[in-house]
Amino acid sequence: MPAMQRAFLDYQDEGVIFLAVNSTSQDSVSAVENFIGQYGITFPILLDKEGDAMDSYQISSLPTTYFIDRSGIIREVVIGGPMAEALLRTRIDKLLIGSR
Amino acid sequence: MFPTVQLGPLNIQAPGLVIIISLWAGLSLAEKFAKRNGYPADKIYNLVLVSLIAGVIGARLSFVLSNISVFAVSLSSIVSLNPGLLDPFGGTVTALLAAVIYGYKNHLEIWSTLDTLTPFFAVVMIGIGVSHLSSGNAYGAETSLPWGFNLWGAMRHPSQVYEIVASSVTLLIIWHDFSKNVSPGIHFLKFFIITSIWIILLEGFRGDSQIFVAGIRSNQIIALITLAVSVILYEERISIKANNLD
Repeated sequence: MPAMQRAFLDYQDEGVIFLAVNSTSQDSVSAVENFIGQYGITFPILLDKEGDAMDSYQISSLPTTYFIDRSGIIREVVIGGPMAEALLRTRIDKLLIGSR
Repeated sequence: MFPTVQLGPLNIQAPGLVIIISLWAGLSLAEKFAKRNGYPADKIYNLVLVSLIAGVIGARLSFVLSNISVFAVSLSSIVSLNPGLLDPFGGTVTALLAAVIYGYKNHLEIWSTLDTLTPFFAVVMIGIGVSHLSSGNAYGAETSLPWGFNLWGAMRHPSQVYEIVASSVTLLIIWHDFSKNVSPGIHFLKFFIITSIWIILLEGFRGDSQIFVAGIRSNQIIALITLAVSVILYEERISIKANNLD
């Protein structure tokens, strides 16, 4: 998550949107708040209270990361973690090809 | 599908685990065949090991060099265990180079060595199919056929299952013919011919592969070229055997 925060700060000016979704149906809001404080997260964390996002995205394992392009098409799914920072950055760079 | 396997506190990436198991099983089978045919099994083991290690290092180095600015920000990622940070082309080239150097230094005859390694390749092909099934990659085109299964929001051809069945049949054929006394290289070329044929036939059921021209997939073109080259070499190896008998 610190890697994601660093990447968020570096890429936000290029129009890259970071959205974290907490599986609140299996977790608690207080745990999310502790997490945000612990890692200094400044990008939005959405609360999936009913598990709708988990169902829609067919999440079978946490964490699962979706790389979605400007057209809304899922270009890559990375299941499991922690994710290496270079993996995160190379995939974002790939999505940004042509828009730089 | 089953992208991860939970073993106690460990959440293991199933596709990677399947590939590792298939490498081990394939190598064990190749060693068995090597011993049966009087080929030095230890050299086969070392050849594969050297190639794999060189392949992984080469794949990572190639990926790092291609994305040097990213790794400059995150140096620790260079030694990350994540397979997503590997360049398959760079890895293949390095592995082949390492194999050629090892084979040259140890005076390994190329066709006999490739024959001995054929069971290894055949088992790894099955492993790749199972890893595709596990990850949901190489998925099928949409279908209304009764054996279609639900994947990525649609009923699809079980293209990964087709892949597993085809590569298993290939292994059975190779296994059945392996004790036959044939020219060196025949087993390996037969494996390539059979594999190329089923890739040409099954690629059309895929829903994700890149179309080259007029509905023909890139992988079908590559398989067609591989098939043509393999058939030419196969005929050549057969004629060598015939000439020797004359």
